[in-house]
Amino acid sequence: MLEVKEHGLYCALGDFFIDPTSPVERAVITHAHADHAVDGSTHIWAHEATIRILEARWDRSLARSSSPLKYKETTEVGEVGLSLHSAGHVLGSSQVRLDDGKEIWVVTGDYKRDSDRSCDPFEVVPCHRLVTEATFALPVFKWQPIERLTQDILRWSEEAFAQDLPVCLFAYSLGKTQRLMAELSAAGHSQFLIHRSADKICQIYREFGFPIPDYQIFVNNMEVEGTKGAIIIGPPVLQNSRFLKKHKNIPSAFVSGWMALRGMRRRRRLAKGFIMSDHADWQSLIKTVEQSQAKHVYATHGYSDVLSRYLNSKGSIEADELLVLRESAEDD
Amino acid sequence: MKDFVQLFFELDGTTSSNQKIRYLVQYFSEAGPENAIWAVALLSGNRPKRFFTNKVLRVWLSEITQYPDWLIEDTYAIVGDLAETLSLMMEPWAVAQKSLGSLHELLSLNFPKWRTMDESSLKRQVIDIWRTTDANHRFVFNKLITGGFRVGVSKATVAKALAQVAGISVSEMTHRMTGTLATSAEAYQQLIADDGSASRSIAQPYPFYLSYALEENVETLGNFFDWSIEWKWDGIRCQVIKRESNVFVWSRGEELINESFPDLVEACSKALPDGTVLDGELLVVDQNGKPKPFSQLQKRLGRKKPSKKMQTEFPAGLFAYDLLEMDGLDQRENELSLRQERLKSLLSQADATQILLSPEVGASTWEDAAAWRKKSREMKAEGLMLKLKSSTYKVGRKKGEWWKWKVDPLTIDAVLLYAQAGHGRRANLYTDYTLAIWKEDALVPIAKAYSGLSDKEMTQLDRWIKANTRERFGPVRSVLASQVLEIAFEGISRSTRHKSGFALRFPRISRWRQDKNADEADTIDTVTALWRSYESIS
Repeated sequence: MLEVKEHGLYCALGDFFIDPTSPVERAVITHAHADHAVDGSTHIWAHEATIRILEARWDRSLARSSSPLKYKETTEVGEVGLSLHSAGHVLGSSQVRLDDGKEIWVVTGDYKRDSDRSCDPFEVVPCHRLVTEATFALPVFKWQPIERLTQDILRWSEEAFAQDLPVCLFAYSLGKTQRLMAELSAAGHSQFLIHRSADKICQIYREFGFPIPDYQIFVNNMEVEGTKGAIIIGPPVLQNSRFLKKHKNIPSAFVSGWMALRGMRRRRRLAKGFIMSDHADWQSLIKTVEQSQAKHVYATHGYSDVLSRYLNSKGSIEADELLVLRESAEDD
Repeated sequence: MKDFVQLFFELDGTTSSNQKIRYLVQYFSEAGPENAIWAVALLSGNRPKRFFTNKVLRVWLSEITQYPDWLIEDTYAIVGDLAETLSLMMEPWAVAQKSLGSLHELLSLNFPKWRTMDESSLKRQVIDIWRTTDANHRFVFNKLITGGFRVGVSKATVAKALAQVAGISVSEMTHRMTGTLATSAEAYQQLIADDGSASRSIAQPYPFYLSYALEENVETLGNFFDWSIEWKWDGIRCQVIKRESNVFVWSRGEELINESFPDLVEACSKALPDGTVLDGELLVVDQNGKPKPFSQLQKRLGRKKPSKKMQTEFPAGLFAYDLLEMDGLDQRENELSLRQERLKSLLSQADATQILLSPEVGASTWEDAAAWRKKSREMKAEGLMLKLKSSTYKVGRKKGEWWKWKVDPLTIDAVLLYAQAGHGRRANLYTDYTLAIWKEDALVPIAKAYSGLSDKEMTQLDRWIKANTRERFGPVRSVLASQVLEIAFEGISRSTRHKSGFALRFPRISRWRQDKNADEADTIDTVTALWRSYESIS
């Protein structure tokens, strides 16, 4: 039902691409991260929250060029029944379920199985064939419970707070920022300074009923006095900001799944890294494949070679690599 | 161990030297001498010999986790660090149930005991530790048993911290730390004694004075006649000590290399008076006292107890260029010109064809020197050393009075054929390249090299590689043959290692030639010509 074409994963029966790498006629978009959502396609099917975020990001209305969907709602596109199911990655993130009456395919898009107050949880969708992401498909990747992470962050912040300083976390504007805000707020923290690139997105999270705490917008020429006791959250470019260059005593840390590897922390020239990802870790990938009951699995993105070889070695599942050349975004 | 593990991650987690010194000072003041001395040893690069090969540990890990061996190997290839791979594959978030005891207990008591244990008991011991400690302890422990303990702190930083603890000068502390350190509590007490009562053994070397590479125009150094110009030999820098009839030859890495060079030890023993310390270059020399190329010295390297035949075929010699001790007196505070004069007269009385005075380069202007530098390869040298005649012999790497002025490397343009993801800091980035030159219509590999590109270019090339992959073989990708990279290297020889039939010495990527197409890369003919001209001078 699906094949890899020049612009990415293509469904001939419905004549659409899923997360095409360049603009096409008809696109199904799993979520609004830039490496999955390329602007310029004529018509888009996506979760309603994803459409809202894309409108904010591309700064125009998609009212006439999109079909906003809710989870579990089935639409006929060409000759296939298409429905979206929560992927638990970020707000609006969806798995794409395709049913031509003979066979069911599920394309997971990016997903995670860990708890996240800022978006709907992952839904297990049984299928015959599963296309799964494999960004972190190595057995060294194993995420800790989010409560432990927020405790770690707050403990690390204490010293700076005691000296009337803020701390700074580098995290991407869509997803990780809101997850950190919701989880740190639940852990008892209340002061947040957020980079403006995440402002509109935070508003959309609220529209969809997710608990985003009060926050102020971070600006470069702030006095330290006005930031004391706050957790500043902004994209990694903030690392080179005038504010942090001027106040070198403000502790900062990168928040990413890659921080599990010591070499990656050193590459960022960062003293501190917190391990948190919105992707599935190794165990979650294996669990998802098992729960899907799929007999045929296609691994894409990241360590797809490792995952497919491992699944094949277990015997009951036939696995392949599915290579879609996509510029890897640093949203992991 | 807990405090040491904490210290490890504190040091690993900061890039500020001052912060590192603070962490070290705190650790040294609280750890107790029997632990502190081990920390000094570990942090200054004296690692315990490994118990196991990586292979053995991978097999054990495969048994415990039930993961196939290839999965562990592939993961290790990406993480780039076996201790870390092991540590993360076993419950990374487990809370420690057992303590590993103190650093002293582990290294002075357990390790020696373990060395006598049979493998299966030792295996039980190690696996039990893996299962009952947290990820950080497990990581440091694994580093210690695999002989790979390393942390981002230089010996100089450790010396600064210890000097603070002891309340003495950094150069005195560096001197005390040079050579072999015992690992007893008493040794630590002596190391940090503030009254200068630290007794030195007769084997104790002086800290080496190291230079920086000259990057400015040579004329900026000022008056030519203030400078002494020497060859920068392509051998092993070493310090030769003769005291109380004993000879000690120390390498620049502070290893005692007497066993590997008995011929040199014997020559020094005969020719040098007691109370002499020389700084010089160990080389293979011919009967006329001329240095032979590095490739000949390579035959002697890493070989303990060389045969008589080896010693006759590749005789070791010393090109001495500095005098650190004479008649038992420290000469380091004297000016270089005086030290050189004394060295000259000392060697003129010494009767040994193997201990030679490193000749001065007969230049009389900077322009002259530049012309000599170009002839370095013919002299089997790597370039020139420029030393201020009035310079004292300092401790460690210091700017301003000693400069190394190396000859420009050789270069060829080669085509990128295969790429492999790097290790550690470069995990997940394709930075290890196999490069090829043209042989008729085919590309034949000539070198594997790590990227010497800027971070920006490295990321750019990584993207290009990911988008232009033709095939994948595990961690290796073959790519479209179109990118030309300039390889810089120090020498070229015939070899069967690569299909081209040549091997390069110290190859590294110097430039990404985006201005060149693949068919403009070097060919087997141009490389053969380069090899001929290189051989003719070697």
